[in-house]
Amino acid sequence: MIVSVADYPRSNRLLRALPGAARDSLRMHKWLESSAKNVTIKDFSWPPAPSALPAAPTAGEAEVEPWNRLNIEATMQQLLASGLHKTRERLFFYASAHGLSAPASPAMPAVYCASHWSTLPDLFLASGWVPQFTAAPAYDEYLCFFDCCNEWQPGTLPVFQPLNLPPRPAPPRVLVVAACKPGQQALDTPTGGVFTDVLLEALSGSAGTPGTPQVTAADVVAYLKENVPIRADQVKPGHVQTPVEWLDPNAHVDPSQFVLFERKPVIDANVTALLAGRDPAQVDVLDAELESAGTVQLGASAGTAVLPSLFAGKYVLRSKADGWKQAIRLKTAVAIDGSVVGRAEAL
Amino acid sequence: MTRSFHNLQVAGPSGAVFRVTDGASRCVATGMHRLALQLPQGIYTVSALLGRSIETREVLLDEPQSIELQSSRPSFGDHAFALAPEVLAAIGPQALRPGGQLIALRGPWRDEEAAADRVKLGRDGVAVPALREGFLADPNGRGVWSWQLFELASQAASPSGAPGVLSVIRSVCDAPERALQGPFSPERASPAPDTAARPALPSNVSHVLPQWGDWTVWAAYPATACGTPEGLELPHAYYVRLRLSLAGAAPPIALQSLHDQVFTALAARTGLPLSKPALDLLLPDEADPLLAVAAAHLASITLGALGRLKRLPHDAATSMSVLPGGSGLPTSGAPTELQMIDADALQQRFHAWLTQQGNGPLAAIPDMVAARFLFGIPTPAHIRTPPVLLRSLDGLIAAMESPKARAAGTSCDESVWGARMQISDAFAFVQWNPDLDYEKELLSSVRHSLESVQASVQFIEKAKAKAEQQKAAEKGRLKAHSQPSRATRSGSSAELPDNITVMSAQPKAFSLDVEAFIKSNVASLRIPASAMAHFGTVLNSLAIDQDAIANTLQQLTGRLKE
Repeated sequence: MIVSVADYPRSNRLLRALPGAARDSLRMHKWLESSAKNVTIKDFSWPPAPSALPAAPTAGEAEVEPWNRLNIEATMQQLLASGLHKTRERLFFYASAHGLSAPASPAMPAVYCASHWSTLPDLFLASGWVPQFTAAPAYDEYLCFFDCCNEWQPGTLPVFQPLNLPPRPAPPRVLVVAACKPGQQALDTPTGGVFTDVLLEALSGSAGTPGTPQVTAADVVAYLKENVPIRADQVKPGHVQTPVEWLDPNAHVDPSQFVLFERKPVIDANVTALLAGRDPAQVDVLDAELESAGTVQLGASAGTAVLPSLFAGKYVLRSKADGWKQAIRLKTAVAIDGSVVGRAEAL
Repeated sequence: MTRSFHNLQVAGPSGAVFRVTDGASRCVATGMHRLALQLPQGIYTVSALLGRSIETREVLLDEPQSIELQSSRPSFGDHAFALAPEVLAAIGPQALRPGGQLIALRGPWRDEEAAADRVKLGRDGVAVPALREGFLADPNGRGVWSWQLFELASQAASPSGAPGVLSVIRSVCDAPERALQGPFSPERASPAPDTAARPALPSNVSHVLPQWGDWTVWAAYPATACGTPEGLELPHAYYVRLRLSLAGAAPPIALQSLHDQVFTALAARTGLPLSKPALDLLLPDEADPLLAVAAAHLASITLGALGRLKRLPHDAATSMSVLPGGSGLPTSGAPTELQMIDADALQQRFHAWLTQQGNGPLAAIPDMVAARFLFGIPTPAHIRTPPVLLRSLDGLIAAMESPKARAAGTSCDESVWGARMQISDAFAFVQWNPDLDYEKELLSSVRHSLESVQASVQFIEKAKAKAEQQKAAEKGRLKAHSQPSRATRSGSSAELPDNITVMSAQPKAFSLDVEAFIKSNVASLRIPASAMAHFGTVLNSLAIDQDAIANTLQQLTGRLKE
């Protein structure tokens, strides 16, 4: 389920447009389609992507209306009913919009919806729904990500009526992460949210223990917590943004035991520009524990140097000739068409 | 192969919060001020939160390393409180006497004319005038700062001796042309057609101020968006920083940043990286009590997150919480940041500090009593005043009901606590939102609910009418088929549609008590005291025909019963 709002034209001047959110939801949508099999995507992106719109309305036909809280909640109810009928595998929820902090649940800010009521848009109270879902035997796994601000902004949180649901026999695997802690803003740029950018890196293979194909929920959280604050400070100096996760250690599976997926190694990542003119044949590659991971090789194109096939992570390039060292990060990123690309950059 | 270990020393200004991650991005250490680590060789990332900046350094630990990180951008609080010595010099020692003062700093303003907008202090709704006020030049040459001195001593305390509730009120101005960075900045928003021509109106924001004996409370607020110098970026309009000092002294430098960290973490209800250096700073013998109690609050949150304070300590021994699935604390896998804190040591540390303070002059302060509840040290007391900081903890609510607390002779005056609940919440959650917005939201929320009910009634009416038509048509067809002789008869009462019978038997009327609903949901709706003060105005402005709504609900109930 993808929820994003890129424009709030009728928010009483209180909510600015988030052009990056449209790009975020499109990237997330394309990446899910290309990387997950048998996935059913319910996309609440506003304004909808041109490809998702029906043919131009003829006279007398209503235009597409912005969705509201009731639309999302109705879908949540459908998902819940479907899961209660027969436990489903995985629920993936992603939101990119303005958010309002829910003090009791810092990792689940309320999401401002596309349509508004009176002075402010509706608020979807994720902190009401997510704990209900995870406590019921509806899905085995829950992945929820909120690229939303987490501030005490104008607006009143809706009151959530607890649902009477059966308890689950076994603890679920849960990963819930918000882009920032309460009191912070999630940084948005015209090309997308910083949190979403780092999240897609993590989910496409950048997160994980060095040399290990399995990526766990704990790996993803660690990657986000390390890289989102650094990236936010790079994009806007002085901006502090720290992701926050939700976990009930008494009711959820240990996140380090929650394997999300198996990643593939990055092949032929170009490091020519990182060698500072050194002979590739004289440069070793050390892994994050400073153990040998191979040597830099010549690429298919003349004059290029590439890394051997390695999992994404931190590495060190070390020259055998003069002892020169350079820490690098080999990472994956998701392009706008959903494809995954690998590249190396200096640390 | 065994990895060799090396020393890593990390240093920075006091208040710097360090985080060290390994090659897998896993956090291996957190702490404040100074870190001395012994780690296996590898690639590490050291980041330090310093004021508004995050400084990052990559470390290749194949030999002992020592690094020092410096802040490139001081926080707004650091900037503001650097003026404290000049303010004290301007005030003069004779104006500062024991009993508690508030020194409010606000800026930077473009000039003295723009700084005409001052903060206002109220005690139980009555204005408290400033004793002294003035201006100071900004140390960076960007305009001026205003300062005001208020007396906090409660000369008009209630007969019970309970101190009054102090509120600090100031106006904010979100002028579009001088908008701040942030999600609610209107500069990048498309103006709504109905509001495009409307000028931005200043609105008031407020927060509650804890009254704490002889201490001087230093408060720093950003200037309004429309009064600040051109091109200067300030925190958002609702930002505030509080620090305490002895009368006549500037806020202690060593604790300045710690104040920021503690109160920011408190506002977020999240745990501070309570490393040993942080605890050493928090709990010296001459500890700032407000800071220490706030830290105790944070420690209880941390312990709660670890499952060590699921219930009050003195109740936890009798029953253990076992949830479906039977999983306990995670025992395998990589340690999380929370797990790295020695929970037992943390609890023992605060327990010892609270016990030590048990007979001191601070012992009867409500927050100290509440903190002792949380850490299992109930003592005889009659609490008429709710604690300012700790009310919002779930554990404290349990403490009010704790049999052991009662057995120890502690009683809480419900009449006082209940009425002031939301005030404490307003402080604990740092809800410095415009009061005006709460009124509007309250209004729209109630309207929304009522219109939803009306829409539901209309929908059910239509569905009912359609069903009745189908039913009548079906009945007609059956009758025409089986009993044609009766088809022309006029209908008897037994054959009238059911809804007519229902409508003729009106259920007992009931009233929709909007006021009772709102009052009973004050906590859920997060309505601050200042909004509740305008409660009557809000209700009157709703202009609800309560009888009409009651009738609508009554009809709806009748149909739903069918």
